[in-house]
Amino acid sequence: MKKVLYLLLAAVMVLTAACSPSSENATSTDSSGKKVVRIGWQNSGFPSPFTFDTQGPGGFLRNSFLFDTLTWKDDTGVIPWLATSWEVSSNNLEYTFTLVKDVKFHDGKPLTADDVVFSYDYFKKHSFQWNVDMTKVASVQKVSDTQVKITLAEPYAPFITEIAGKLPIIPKHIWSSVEKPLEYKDNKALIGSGPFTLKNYDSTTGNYQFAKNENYFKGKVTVDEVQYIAVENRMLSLQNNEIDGGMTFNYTEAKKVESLGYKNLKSKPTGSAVRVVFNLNHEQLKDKRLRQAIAYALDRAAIAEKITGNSEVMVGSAGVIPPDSDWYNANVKKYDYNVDQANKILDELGYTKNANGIRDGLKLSVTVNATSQEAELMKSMLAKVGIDLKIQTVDAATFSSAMAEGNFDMTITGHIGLSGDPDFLRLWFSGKAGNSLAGKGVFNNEKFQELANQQLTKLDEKERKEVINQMQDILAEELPTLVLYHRPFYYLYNAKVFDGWFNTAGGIADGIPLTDNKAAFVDYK
Amino acid sequence: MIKKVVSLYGFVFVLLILLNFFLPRLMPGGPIEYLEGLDSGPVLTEEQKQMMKEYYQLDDSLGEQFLNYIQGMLTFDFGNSFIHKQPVTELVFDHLPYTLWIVGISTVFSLALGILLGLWSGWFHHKHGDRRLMLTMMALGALPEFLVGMILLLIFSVYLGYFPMSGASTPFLNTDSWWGVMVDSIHHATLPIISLTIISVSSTYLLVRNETIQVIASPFIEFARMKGIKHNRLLYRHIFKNALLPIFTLMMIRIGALFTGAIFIEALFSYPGIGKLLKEAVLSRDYPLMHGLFFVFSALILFFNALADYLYPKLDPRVKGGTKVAKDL
Repeated sequence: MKKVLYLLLAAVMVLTAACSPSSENATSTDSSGKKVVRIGWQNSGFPSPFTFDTQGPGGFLRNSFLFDTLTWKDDTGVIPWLATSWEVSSNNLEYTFTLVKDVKFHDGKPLTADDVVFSYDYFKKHSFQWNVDMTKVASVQKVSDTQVKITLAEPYAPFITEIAGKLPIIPKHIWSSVEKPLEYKDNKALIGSGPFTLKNYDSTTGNYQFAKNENYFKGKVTVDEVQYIAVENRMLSLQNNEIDGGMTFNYTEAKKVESLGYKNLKSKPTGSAVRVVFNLNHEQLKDKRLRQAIAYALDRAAIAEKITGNSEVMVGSAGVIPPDSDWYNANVKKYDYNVDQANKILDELGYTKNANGIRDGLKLSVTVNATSQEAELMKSMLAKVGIDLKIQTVDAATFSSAMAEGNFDMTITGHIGLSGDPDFLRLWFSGKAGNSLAGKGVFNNEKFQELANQQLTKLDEKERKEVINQMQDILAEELPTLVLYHRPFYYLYNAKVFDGWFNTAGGIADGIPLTDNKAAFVDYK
Repeated sequence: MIKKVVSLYGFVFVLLILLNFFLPRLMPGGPIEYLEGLDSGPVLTEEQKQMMKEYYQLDDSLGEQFLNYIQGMLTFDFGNSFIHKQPVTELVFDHLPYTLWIVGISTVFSLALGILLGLWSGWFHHKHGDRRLMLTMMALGALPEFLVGMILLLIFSVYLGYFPMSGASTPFLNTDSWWGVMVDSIHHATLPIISLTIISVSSTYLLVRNETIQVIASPFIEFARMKGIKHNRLLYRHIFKNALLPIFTLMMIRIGALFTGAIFIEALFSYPGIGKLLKEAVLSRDYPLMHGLFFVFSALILFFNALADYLYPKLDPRVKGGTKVAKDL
């Protein structure tokens, strides 16, 4: 028996020997004199253009490190990337791009007009996963070795950001023989022209190791390695020196970490929204006056403050586009917190209060995905005007099938990408986009649909903004959805390791409000 | 006897295979709904959705899907995972070693600890140490696994910083020595192993304690004492040996339970075992991955139960049953 005890003791000793604090990890990567940046984010899949994960923007961003697009964005807005310049024909249908000369793929082969033509054709057959509507592209032609003409099927104002700025250019010599791109997981599937190559991807843990591309066409890559580490809690791991930077929504947490000496970069524009979606086919909610009454009854400023811990968070715009976006309509109708107004409308609608102050005829429910503090706060606020709100909590898949089937009264959803191109308003409310979060109950407002199609044809920004303003006015009046607040993201990082982070104007690509822009690591200015 | 075991377990297994196909599909929503239901996922156009459905063969009829599934079962080819876009078999084999490693070690620890403490506790029955130990163990046993894990994580990783917060190894560790790699994986596995040990030690302990108390009360122990056998020899040779039988059964059941306990622990510590994989698969309605994982889980649990059923009569001939004994007589 003593033997057993000794064995146990030995086991304990081995364990404690292994318990030395993890400080050595930080130095082990630095000891070779390399500049390594470690960022916290969950597993985003094998980062080929066809297999990256679409749960959140991580996959698209990982992919953008390896592949380049014709245009890109930085803190100043849209900038030329693989294309040096482009011209638009007078009918707004033909875009002629001039490409940078002498660009090489990671395997040393040149990137030419043929690859661009091939990529666009290939993605017409095999869809790119990060929402690129290829039906808008009619054809692609090679004009010369460095010029490509893309012809659209119909005028599409956001083409430069929504297609040219998102679609990666893939090497023809590799993909032309690939029949099933979703199953193609060879290392060759990662050969692009981007500022990094993927040295290592551990699919079990979800960690990525990107090494710099020594011959990058756009400029010198300023770090040797970027690692993405799938940690469980980014803020704690940052303090534990397991990563050098991480994102959080939580203001209190961000302030705490900031006070420990880390730098804090707040996303600007915020580009996100937490909102209530109304079921427009619901017997009672289809009346817009009831939706307006609910808007008046909710103290959205208080909800935003309580949940984010920050009194400066923007109250949701009734026109959906956040107030710090260039496309925001400053004159859009606002629904300031007003209990009397809410009570008045509800009385007018004939929902009378009973002896307990509850409106018997009005029983509503809100369906939420995972626990939602917003729903709890809404419940207590609506109770003040006599509305009895029931909260139903379900998981993501149930949630979205309930929405698709219209089995809900109200739901609460969160979004990013609202500071990018405003075309998302059309996608959300036209019923064309399949994203059930955008509301399957199609917003049947003829005027809105007309404007939504009209804005696509306006390439002049001023004219387009005029139309977008009107769309926001209709949304604010009809309230198919009610934005509660626009929450900023906070990127906390160790400035000693890397300090080149910036906010991308309007968000990366289609409006991703994160800091993981590959341009931050490239010296191109 | 073997025939009986085989036919019983065969029947259960067929039932499981059927459930394995239908249960995931009875859950509301599917893989595509999951992608859409995410906060910051992509906006899918109808064409994109149609392509995905076709690719994943979700537009096939239920019958066709079932045939594919059965065919896959027979060839151990469960298809491609929707979210990981990787063959399920490959995924499971990539992740299984992590679970086997933490579950294996913690099974050994929890059994050794539970048996030792149980024996001592039973020996000192009715004395103070015994009561205290029993109350502690009962309290530990009542704690849910994720709570135990969370407390350990808070104390040892967050406040003291002794252990890493998550993962199974330091990412891209710059060392070639096997010793460095081993120390690193032990370092990462310590908290998950301790959590799993804590949650399973109490049931072993309680059972061993009970058995010990019963065995101590039997006449042959009294006789052994009268013979003047030393107390250590008495405890470990005589009492332990006789209390072993129920412990063996328990051990087999415990191993099954530990695998399910690992689901919570792995999720908490972001440990890349099959438990974490299962959680992701269920949430994202990844049917092929769920098939593969449920298959592995049920196969493991059934295997250990069958092993117990098979070995039990060999350890204790009394349970062979009346007819067999009568024949032997």
